[in-house]
Amino acid sequence: MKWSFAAAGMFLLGVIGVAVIILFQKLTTSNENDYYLLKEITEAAMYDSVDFKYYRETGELKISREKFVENFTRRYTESTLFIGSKYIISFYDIMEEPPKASIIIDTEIQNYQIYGENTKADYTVGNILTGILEFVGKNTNKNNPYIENKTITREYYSMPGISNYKINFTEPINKPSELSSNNIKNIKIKKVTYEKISNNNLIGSVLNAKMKKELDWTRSTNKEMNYENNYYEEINSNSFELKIDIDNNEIDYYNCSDNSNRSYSGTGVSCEANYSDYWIHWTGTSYGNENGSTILKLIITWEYDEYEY
Amino acid sequence: MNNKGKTINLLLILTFLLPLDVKADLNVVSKKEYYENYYYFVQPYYETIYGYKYDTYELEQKNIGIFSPQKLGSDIGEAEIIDLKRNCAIEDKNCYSFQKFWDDYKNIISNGNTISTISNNECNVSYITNRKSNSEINQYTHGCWKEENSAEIKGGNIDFNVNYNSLGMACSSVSRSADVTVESNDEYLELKIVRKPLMFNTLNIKKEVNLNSNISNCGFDKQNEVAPYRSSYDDFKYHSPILAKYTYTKTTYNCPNTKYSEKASCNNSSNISQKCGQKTITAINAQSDINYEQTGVISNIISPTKIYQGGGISIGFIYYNTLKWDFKDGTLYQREIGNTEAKKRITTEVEKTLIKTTEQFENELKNNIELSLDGISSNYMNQINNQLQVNCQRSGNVVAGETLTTICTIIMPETKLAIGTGKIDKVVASTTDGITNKIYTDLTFSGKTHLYAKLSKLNMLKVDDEEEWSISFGDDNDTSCDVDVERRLYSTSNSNKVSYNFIYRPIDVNNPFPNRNAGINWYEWWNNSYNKDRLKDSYSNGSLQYEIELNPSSIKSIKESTTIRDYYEWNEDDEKNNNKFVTDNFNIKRQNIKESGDY
Repeated sequence: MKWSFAAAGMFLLGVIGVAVIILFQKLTTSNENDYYLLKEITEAAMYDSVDFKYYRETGELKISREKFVENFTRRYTESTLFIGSKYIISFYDIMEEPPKASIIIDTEIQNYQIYGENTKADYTVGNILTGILEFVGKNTNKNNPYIENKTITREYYSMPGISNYKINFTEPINKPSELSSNNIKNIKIKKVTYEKISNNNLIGSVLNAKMKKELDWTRSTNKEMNYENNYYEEINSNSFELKIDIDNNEIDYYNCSDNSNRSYSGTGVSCEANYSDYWIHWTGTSYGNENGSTILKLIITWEYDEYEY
Repeated sequence: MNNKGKTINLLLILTFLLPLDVKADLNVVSKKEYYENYYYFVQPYYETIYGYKYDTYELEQKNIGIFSPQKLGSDIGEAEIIDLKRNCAIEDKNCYSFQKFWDDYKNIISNGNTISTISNNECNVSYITNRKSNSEINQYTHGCWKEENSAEIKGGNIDFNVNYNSLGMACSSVSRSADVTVESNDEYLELKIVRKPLMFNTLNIKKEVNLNSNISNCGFDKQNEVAPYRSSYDDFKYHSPILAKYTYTKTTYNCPNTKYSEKASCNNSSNISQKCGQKTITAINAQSDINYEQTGVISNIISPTKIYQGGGISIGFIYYNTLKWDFKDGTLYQREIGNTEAKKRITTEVEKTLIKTTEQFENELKNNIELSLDGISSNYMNQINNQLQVNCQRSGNVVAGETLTTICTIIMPETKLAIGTGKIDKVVASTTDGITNKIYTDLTFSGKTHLYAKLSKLNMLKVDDEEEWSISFGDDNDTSCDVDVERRLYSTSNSNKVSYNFIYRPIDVNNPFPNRNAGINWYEWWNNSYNKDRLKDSYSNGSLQYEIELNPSSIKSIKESTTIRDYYEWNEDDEKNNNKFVTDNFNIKRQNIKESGDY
């Protein structure tokens, strides 16, 4: 008799053991599958949601928030083993740029209540992941990944008007397109010199100035800059004034970022107006014409730090 | 007897003065045209000789003929009398017989044109023109003889019962010395023929043959036999036809246009110029030489000089052309219209035949621009070339002494990128001046891209193709036309496998970049303390943005609605331009949205 009770007891113990094993297997194996899926699907969905149009236009990496959400959800419905009765997928603080996604997948069938001394706590088992897309640069592992004090020199054309023999020019200037990426910082004008333009190159210089005005000058439609068609009539009538009494002391720059310049006090500059952080200032006295137009070629050296790709 | 006339006492009343200094510019080419005019003077009846009186002394006799004026702007010519002979040997091509005179005369009045506005002695002038490449021969009649009526030589009502054809007229012709003088003005050419006094017996006529109706007995083989025409038994008539010749030349000038094929650098300008010292322009009843000067300046920019993979390049061209022309002093000729009208006609002719209109120049240039960039598909490049525009503005007028300025901007088209994929969706003509429009390199291309460009048909004058101007950029590996393309998005392994240059990483929100700096696109963001806190709070309730419950029913619904769209296809938007999938399926959506710079 006791042996039959023992056998029954052994059998019951075995069933309980198997139940426990099955319970934990369900918890771990299905959860492991879910985590694996979460990781892989997040990666695939992030790659699929990269906005290449934005990249082409700016050079920066960005994802589309709702493209990511859609893609992730669709992939997950296709891929999951779906052992449980339902899943809740929650997306937190998805950042488009820089690309980041935080996801929690809650199956809601693994809810537990743990009882302690005078306490009770509810626990759910879920999967949580934050993934990013990252450009690793050349010097990511160095103390300072930026290469500092790099320089680039570019030509700009300034074509102001002359009033009562005087030129007084203060205008915001655009930084070169080469310095427009987010991996470049601490951009400043370092040096400005000028070149006088000979009569032989006058028309070519005016044409270059006309083509580049929108690229170079922030307020290119500003009438004070005199970028108007009447310049060509002035060339024809030979009244285009080239005789400018000017020297290096009368050409200056102003960086809004740190007020760095040589001697210019910044009069006429308007950093608050958000035109540009970089300003060019020059004055001169003309021989000959009381009023008219002139053209000057500016050689501007820019300084910057770059986190290289 | 040599009757070759001399241009004695040439009276040239001309409305032009020949330039004293005909020094030609180096590039001026002159072209001469040669004109030979023959004037067939028939002697009037009342002047003819009574042959039966062998001692007849005929006085000097004059004929004046008015003919078409010589060509406008032509040189002073030379006049002479051509000797006419009774017989010519076949091999003597320079011999001119009476028979040939009358045969030619018959041909002119039968097949030539009549100048009804010029008539001489009651009969109109007829003429024939025979034109070759640079020469012209004109034959004019002066007189009233017509073969079909009678042997009438004009001079009152004469009854003839003998019809003299050209053969008969030849038989009754006798030689006579004559002089010719020419008066040439802008309205007509006047020839004055003076038949010199003649003693009939000096003609040494041995026999008179009475032809009556038997003209074949004219006796052409016998030098001194003639057959006078006679109206009656006693009325013997001889006559002296005179053939005068007037030759002159006309010189026109031209500057053979020079073909220019220049190489230019990028971000620079290039000049072309051309000068013509003398070119002849001809209009109706007006002619003048002009001089002109043309200059061209073309500027190019290519910016920036360094881009990232898949980035865009701005390209611009502007062409500036000036053309100035003026009348060359002392070369204006006109006929019956006055100098003012003549200049006006010449100006119109210059504008019509010499200078391209703005529209013509735009269209020609547009169809003759070739652009290519390395690292860009040929299909995309073709679309760009097809959608280029040329916009020209012209100032000034086609007026002598005034500068005509044409400024042409070559406008790059606009490239539309597809949403999300960034592929080249389409290329459309620009609505702006195009300088901010970009041409995008392939996403996988890196290294150096090089611009090649050729612009042709830059000559503002209407010329043949082989005389056109062209400027090319980027030849001979000119580095000024290079743009560095930084490898940023894709990298290529040694086995040519292309992969992204960025990586996906799961992170710990409390320590996302352990033991190293943040990557390029994270560095500045991560260095902000607010962002560090934000990252740590990623899973807070205040950060929940979207939530969806997946159950058998919703999963089935999702699968059915999205089977036709691939993962790579971009959003199908709802009416508010939001993602339709999210709108339709998510119970929590678009909450707590913060941009990366928001705190």
